[in-house]
Amino acid sequence: LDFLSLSFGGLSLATVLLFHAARDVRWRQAVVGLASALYLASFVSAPEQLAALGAFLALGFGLVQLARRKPGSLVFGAGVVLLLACFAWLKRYSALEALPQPPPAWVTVGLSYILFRVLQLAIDELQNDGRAPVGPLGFLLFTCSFLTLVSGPIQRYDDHRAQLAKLGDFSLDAAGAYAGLSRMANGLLKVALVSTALLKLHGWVLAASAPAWATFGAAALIYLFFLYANFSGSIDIVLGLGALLGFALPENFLQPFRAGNLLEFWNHWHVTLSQWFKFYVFNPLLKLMGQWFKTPAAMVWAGVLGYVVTFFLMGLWHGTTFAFVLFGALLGVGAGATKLYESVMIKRLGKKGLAALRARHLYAAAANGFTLAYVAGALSLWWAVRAGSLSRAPAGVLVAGILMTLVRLPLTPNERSESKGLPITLKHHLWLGARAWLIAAIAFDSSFHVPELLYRGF
Amino acid sequence: MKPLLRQLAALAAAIAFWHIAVGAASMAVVPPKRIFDSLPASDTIYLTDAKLVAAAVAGMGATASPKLILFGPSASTSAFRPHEVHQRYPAYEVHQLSLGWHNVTHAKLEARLMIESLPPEVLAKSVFALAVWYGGFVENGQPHLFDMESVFLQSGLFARQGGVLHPIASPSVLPVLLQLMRPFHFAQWLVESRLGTYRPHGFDRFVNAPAKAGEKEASMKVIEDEWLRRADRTLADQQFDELLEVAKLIDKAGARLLIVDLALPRWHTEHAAYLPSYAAQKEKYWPQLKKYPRVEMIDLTGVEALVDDENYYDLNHVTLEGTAAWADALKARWGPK
Repeated sequence: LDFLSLSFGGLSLATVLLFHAARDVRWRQAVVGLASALYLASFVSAPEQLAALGAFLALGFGLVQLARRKPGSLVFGAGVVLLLACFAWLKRYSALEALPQPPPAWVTVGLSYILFRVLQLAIDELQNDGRAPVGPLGFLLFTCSFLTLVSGPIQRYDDHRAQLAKLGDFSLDAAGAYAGLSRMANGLLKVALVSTALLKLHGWVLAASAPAWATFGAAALIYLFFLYANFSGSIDIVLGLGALLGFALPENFLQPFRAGNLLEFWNHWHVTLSQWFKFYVFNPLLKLMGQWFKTPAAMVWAGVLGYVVTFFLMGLWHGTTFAFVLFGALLGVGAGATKLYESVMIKRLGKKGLAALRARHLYAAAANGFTLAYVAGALSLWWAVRAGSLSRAPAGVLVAGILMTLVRLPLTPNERSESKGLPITLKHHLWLGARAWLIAAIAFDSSFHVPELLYRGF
Repeated sequence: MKPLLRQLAALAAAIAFWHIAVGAASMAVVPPKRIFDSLPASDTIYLTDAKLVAAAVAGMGATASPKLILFGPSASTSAFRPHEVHQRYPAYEVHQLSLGWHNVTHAKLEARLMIESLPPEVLAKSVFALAVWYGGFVENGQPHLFDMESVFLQSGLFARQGGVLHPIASPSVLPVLLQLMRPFHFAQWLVESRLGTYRPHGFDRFVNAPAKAGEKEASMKVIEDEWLRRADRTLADQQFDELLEVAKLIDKAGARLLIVDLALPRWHTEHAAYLPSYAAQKEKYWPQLKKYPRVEMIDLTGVEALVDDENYYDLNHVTLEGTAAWADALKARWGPK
């Protein structure tokens, strides 16, 4: 279902009303489960189209059960490799083109996020003792929740289970209802209006008859903002809807455009993905390398290598073609270089000295500007290959960096605390109504082409 | 549950408030009027002739009066001005819903949507007048034909069901919905007129939106090359078969259909390479059309009062001065004397 469609609006409204019709926890869990099933069903025209997704989920559930039995690392590793191989095949990674391809009718919506949740569950099961077992229904509710299926955020299972268990206690006050609806409205406007306008602007800038480095730099930055509006908008929608249903889903964007370096950027952009990679890739990798590198100097290099590998994998996850290998490499090299620079500067200036340097206005602006320019340059691999303008990237990124240093983006308001606990006045209702009316006007116009949610494709 | 319901009610009230406020603003900025003519599209919130026609089709059922609905290609728009026709047929509510860059497939879609938008009792006393000339029989797939379905969909008054376009409501409800949707149409007008993103499709391309320098001339050259000099082409059966379908549809709906074969300026008739093929197809198809009891053929080709080159400003579009003669010519051939 499209977020702007009447069907999605109807499903959301019906789910919220049915959910609050009774306080029984099983009733509420059943409502969420039913909504998730209906949402998943909306992607297919025949049940057999879900066969591959079903098989993947069954394999994932099997891996979680295997992990619970604490098998040897070889057996568990083989299970993970099998799951990853199935994932890569179902996602049609270009490196696997030589193999017979899965039938086009198979629907694999949300597969990437399901993979993260399954791996998280399996690794947690392997590492922790005494946890309550994950049953098939709980597994399905966690991996295929309609709130987070297509583009996250990636919630921790323990948080999900705790919230699920307390759904019966959840009640909504006026401020909470307003905050949830208001956040959904903001998200819908970001997706429908802001991201559409930015994508159009991106196209116009690329086609403009200006020097290539200028158009590339501007287009790269605009694409970054487009992606933010497109992705954070979809996250706002599900977080707002989740809030109406008693789910406190984790924030995925924490003012990323304020970041002073690449590592900081990724701690604030797609936060739950970054945290997942930190917990399940970076930390184990560092632990492993800690066994080999004993000196502090060697550990610095281990950290750099850890960042390179982690960010490379994170970049690679975003797509199935060679452009995403390059994207991953750019992120990896950028993150490694950032870590190395930080270590060198700490050695030379000390931690306090580096903090003082970072506090300097010009340094902070330049660091912020070139961080955003670097990310925008790396993201240009998502569109510039198709547009045939990749050769303009270096000059374009330089221009974008200088531009952003000079301009410093207006900060993105953090909407988490919006109206929470405040009395809701007529002004609030009218403001929410105005946004909702605008969304209705956009949805009404069939000629208004809202771009796809990009992260749905990952 | 109560706070949630209260919030949802407040939200619904706030949306209604804005809808009414935007609707009121739309009345002040672009005063509403009943639509009888597809030509002055830029004076309305619909901006283009095609969207105006979509709205006009949806709003036609607002009255139970008998209707004389003129439709077909843009040549009909310029030839039959609704006020001129109405003077000669005062018993009818006259609608001019012709469109440019249009063929008989478009006319068939328009006819079906009009039939579905009018109550049967109104259809029974209404007359459809479909204007034809050889240029309107251009086969589907030609690049200059416009995408009528998209425009009708954008109006929000029509939707695809099973891949086929239909009005979204019954004839009695549709005119009410048209009024209720006015704030949304106004929002479209606001964006499209301010950003200049709208694209006139047909006759109003020349009339409503000032053409860029040379655009009209270039367009005319394409038309002339296509219609006058392409002697290698003949008119295929496809569009004539569609005309049979139009006749069948309207006849079945209980309404009457006039097929008005339009006159052309004398110079055009002397040069048009397609005319022999057109004549041959008419010989084949006109007898089949005449079999439908509610279908009449009105032949205006070669009518002396209509072929003067001075009364046309291009290939087949009549100047304002020439329109009275067209209404007279129609009156002389059809209807109470």
